[in-house]
Amino acid sequence: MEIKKMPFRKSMKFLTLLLTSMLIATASATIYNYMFQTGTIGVEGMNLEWRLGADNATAGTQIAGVTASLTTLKGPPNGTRVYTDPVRLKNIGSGAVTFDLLIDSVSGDTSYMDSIVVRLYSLNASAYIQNMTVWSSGAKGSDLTVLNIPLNHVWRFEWEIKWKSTALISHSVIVNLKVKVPA
Amino acid sequence: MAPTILPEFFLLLGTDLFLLLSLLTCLLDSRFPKALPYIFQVAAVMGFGHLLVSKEFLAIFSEYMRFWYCFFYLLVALINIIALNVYLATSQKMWILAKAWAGTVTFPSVMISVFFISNYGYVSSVEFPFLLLQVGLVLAAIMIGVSAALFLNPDLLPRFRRKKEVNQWK
Repeated sequence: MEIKKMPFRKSMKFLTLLLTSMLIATASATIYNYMFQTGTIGVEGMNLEWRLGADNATAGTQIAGVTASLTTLKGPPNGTRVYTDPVRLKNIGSGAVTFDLLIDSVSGDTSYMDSIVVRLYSLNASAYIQNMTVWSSGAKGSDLTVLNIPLNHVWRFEWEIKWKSTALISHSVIVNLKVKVPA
Repeated sequence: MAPTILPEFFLLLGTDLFLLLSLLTCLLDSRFPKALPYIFQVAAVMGFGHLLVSKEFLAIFSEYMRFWYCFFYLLVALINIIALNVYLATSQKMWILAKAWAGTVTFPSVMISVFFISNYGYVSSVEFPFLLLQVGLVLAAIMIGVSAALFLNPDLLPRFRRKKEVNQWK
């Protein structure tokens, strides 16, 4: 079979078109890739949800999305006050969730504060999980890490507050805790 | 379910089809008008321009609107492929080349486009005015049937053509 040689002019024309085609195809694919990366940012579903506890009225529990505020926690001077069930955390995801409970900040009249302890209990298993010392001996406590809450389980957060004998009604302390998911 | 492809994918597909047409018409330049490869390159550049517009106005244009102008661009590219196929078959009377073009360019391009469009339509719940997938499947079935008949009986097409010519002379 005789193979015809492509004329020089035609091969140059083809080569030019091939180069411009590659250029256009690459540029188009780059822009599409850029759009794909920037155009598909969705909203992630939350796995953990705050719920009102049995003591929500006395503790002044307010839940707004991912934030739970306990606005009226109080304790007597030189005495201990325990709120057994001011707020709960429920796993509404599709499996067990591992999270960290972090002490973000403790501010205000901390010099009059003796201790703040948060204890975690499972309502499903009726079991104690772990406790976190938020404030004790004039210093911030340690974070709780790698807590594993099974699917559909609810944990209650028990707060124990103890003021020093020198504390007055005008004194207050602001505590910020953070739940970090995934741990 | 989140769409796995953006509507601009059809622009990208259309641009690539125009580039393919440009190269093919350049290789077969004795059968096609000389300016055709350049016209297809310009059409591909227009697709690129479309992509740029989509990118700049991503927040303003709705997905529905983006889908339809991307879809029409792809449709224009497919119509050009089919038109060249018809041009080869009818105007140039190059049956072998037309058949080869249909098997290697027209049919795969149409099938790939139908697949992606139906997939996008299913995921994004785009309502088409006609049953695109069903029509595509029927066309595919007809094409396979005709191809099988021609493969099993190669004399079928010349016999049919001869019969037509005889009828013309009567």
